[in-house]
Amino acid sequence: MYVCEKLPTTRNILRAPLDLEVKGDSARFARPLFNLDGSRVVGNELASGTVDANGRLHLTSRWNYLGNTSNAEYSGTLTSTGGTLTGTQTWTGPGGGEPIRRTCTVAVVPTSAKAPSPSQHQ
Amino acid sequence: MRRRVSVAFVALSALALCLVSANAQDQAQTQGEALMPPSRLADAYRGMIVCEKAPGAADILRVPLDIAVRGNKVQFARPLFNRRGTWVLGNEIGSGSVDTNGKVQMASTWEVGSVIGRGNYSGTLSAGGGTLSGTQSWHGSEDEARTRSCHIALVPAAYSQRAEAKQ
Repeated sequence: MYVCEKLPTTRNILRAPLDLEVKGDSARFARPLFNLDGSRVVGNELASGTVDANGRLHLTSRWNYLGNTSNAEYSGTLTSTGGTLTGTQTWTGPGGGEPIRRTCTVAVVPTSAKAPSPSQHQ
Repeated sequence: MRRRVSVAFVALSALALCLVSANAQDQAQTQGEALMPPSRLADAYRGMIVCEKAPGAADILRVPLDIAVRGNKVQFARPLFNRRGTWVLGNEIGSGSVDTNGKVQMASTWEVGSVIGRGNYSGTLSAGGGTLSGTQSWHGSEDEARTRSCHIALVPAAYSQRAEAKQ
């Protein structure tokens, strides 16, 4: 799951599902992007990066929404039983100005390729 | 199902905060200024706990989790579901401590029917949020021991106090 601080323009904190894929020393994740009140999916955040031999992850992403550009950077550690990442989104408006930053955190566990759609259990 | 989960989550949040408030008041009466909080921590965090798929469950677990911080004490709560994820059976409510560097240790015990579970989690909180990792263990219906890893992602609750302004 992907959890982010509330922005001044959003209704609440963000909680969204996130899928992380590791292939060799490369890693990438995807999660849905929502509009400001969280009522509609407006796209995806796709991040990519690397994982080292100790499971240290570093991923970055960039996307645009309503003329704003977000650059995000995440780092954390992955083991065979899952892991966590912490990162920062930096938002820049079309007119420049002071960027807006917020912290985002990620929690993941391994899942099989045959797993059904996300759900809540036990 | 979603409404049931939402209602349970709201009730759970209120319960956790009430418990922490009562506990904090008790602690304040007995320890006085010992409740000085780790600097720059929010008083409430919200996020998600994600756990490995349990035997018999259809998928991994992804549910909301709340943490309340009162001084150097922390308390958390999250709903417990049946194996199919169709029914809330109770709550996992745990408590622990946070040191001045934001290092958190939490433990919990819960009971659902004949199953008794235990959780242990540790990690770090800061003004902007934090992550914890841990293990849940329980004995199944045939008394076999089960263990799974869980990870928690947190940010300050939207209207929490003492959180640093991020924008």
